[in-house]
Amino acid sequence: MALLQVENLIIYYFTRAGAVKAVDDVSFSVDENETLGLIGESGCGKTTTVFAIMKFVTPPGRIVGGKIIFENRDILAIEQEEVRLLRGQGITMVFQAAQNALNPVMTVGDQITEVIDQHERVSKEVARERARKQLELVGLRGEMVKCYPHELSGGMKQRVGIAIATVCNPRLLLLDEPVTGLDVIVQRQLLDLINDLRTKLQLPIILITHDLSVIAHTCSKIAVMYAGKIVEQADVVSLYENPLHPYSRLLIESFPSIKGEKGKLSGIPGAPPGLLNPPVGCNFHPRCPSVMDICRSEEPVSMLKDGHLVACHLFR
Amino acid sequence: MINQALLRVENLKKYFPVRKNLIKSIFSREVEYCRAVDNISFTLGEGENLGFVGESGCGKSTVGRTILRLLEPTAGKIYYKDTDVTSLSRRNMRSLRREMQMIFQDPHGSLNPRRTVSETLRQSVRIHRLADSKAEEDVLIKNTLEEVGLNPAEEFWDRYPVLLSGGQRQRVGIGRILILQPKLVIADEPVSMLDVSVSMGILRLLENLRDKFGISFIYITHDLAIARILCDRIVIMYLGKIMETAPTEDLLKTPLHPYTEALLAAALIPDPRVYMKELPIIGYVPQIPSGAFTSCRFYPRCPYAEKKCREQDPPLIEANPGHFVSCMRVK
Repeated sequence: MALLQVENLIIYYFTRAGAVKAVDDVSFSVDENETLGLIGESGCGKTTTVFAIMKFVTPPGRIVGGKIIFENRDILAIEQEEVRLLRGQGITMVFQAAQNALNPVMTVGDQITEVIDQHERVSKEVARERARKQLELVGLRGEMVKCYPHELSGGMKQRVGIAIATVCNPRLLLLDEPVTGLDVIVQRQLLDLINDLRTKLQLPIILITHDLSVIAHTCSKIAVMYAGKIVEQADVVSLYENPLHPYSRLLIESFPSIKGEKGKLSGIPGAPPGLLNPPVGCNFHPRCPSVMDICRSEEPVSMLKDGHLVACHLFR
Repeated sequence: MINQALLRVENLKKYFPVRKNLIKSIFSREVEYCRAVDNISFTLGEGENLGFVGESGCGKSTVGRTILRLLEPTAGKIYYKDTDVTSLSRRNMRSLRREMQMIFQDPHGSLNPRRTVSETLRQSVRIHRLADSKAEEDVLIKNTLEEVGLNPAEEFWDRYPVLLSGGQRQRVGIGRILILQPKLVIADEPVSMLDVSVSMGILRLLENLRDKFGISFIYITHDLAIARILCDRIVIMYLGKIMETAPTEDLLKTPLHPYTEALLAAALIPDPRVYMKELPIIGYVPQIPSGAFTSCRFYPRCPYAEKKCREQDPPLIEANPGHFVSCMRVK
């Protein structure tokens, strides 16, 4: 049994205009020692999916169907008090723009010890010492426990976010756009840290990003999301070398690189569909270069092909 | 293609006064400065695309804003064609601005939320008196909207920015300047807030406009991969100074400055099979000190730093034809 198993997850946002199908029948799993990268454009439902794993979905959003099984328990069914224990010790999350997610009027040290207080019975001194150790673990100086967030740079704040998330030894770490909005060199340093932590702490990770190169250097498995659905899943190298779904292929092709031939600007024409009234058939058909008649009427189901799970009529 | 200099910048400086201590600032006249742009010179040929690349706080945006005199330069000269931009009066500057325009980074913040798309464009038309009648204005606006890929124009005509996606907003931002038919456009991180597939569409649009209307661009970006696509020449900046400048492919293949080398090593390759080399750089970007530099400003982070790097601020010298670098190691 996998560490985390998400089965047929469906999440709608109920608005006055109708139900927005933010996550529509999504299934994936994460094993011990695995890093899953969830990639997709803004609004494709990747953050909502991960929010469900943390039980953060609040009205107007609602989990309409599916299961999320973590360590053999369905976490959608557990009680509120257990949820508190689950967050922090079981699964933790570093939010998008963690730089701004820190409390501006609390020192960094207090923000770390606060988490320890919530989950463990230890003395103040022990907690403070652990906070220092934790900062050193993420490549900061221990004295920084006394700093306020405004004294730190963006990259340092992101490190503090990771320090807070890992202080109670979680069994699964969720990272939402961990390096977006940071400078290239700081980005690289953070990715090195993430890789380092994964090996040091043996920590399985789910990483959300819209940047393929981030996944390329941190993840072992990748799931491509489009308009609320996972269109293709495979291991990273295999998906990169042999993308099956037209969307995965276009996504990979549209990435600029400083290496190799100077590519042509490709991009993907059109825009993702509104999820209030998604297109009939395959969600990608209005933008798909290899669209067929069946794509306009019938929704493709996921199937196994060359070791990839892919949802596309091309492979029927 | 590049025949004459469209823009010539000479010894440009922009210092921002910093007030460190309230009491001190009351009792003493001494003002400390942050040298955001510290003695920069470069030229931009007609039809050329120049990229300014560097980390946050290196002064690349300040250079762009100073050229348009959105910020007043502390010292130095900026020549557009043969006009000295720095000595122009406000009125004359306004008429010149029609030819020199800027695309801003944040498409969400740079459009007035209470103006529809057509009103935003109409404002540009009116300020610069580009049309004689409302009907003429309408035609101009419609053509421009279609030119920037907002098709059909009628559909976007009465929309407010909230109803547009990030990419569409950035297209409105581009339309707003394109309608003026500028000669020089400074694009400050035009796609850094957009998704990759959307940003590629915007970059392609900019590329088309350049070819179609012969606009010269200055791109300000922190992403070398994007600079590579768009620019003929790249300028690498660090703490307010040009560290290296060369034709794009030249710079990528044979970087001479250790900082360029570090930027290249840090740039992520979207290929899981590529092994990431260890970063040849130490620590974080420091704060710009208030005094003048007496050493190489990259020296504290440089893996090759030697004693001589501490003793002198290296000048920008031409190492190879067209390839300038400011490093003590390069003779």
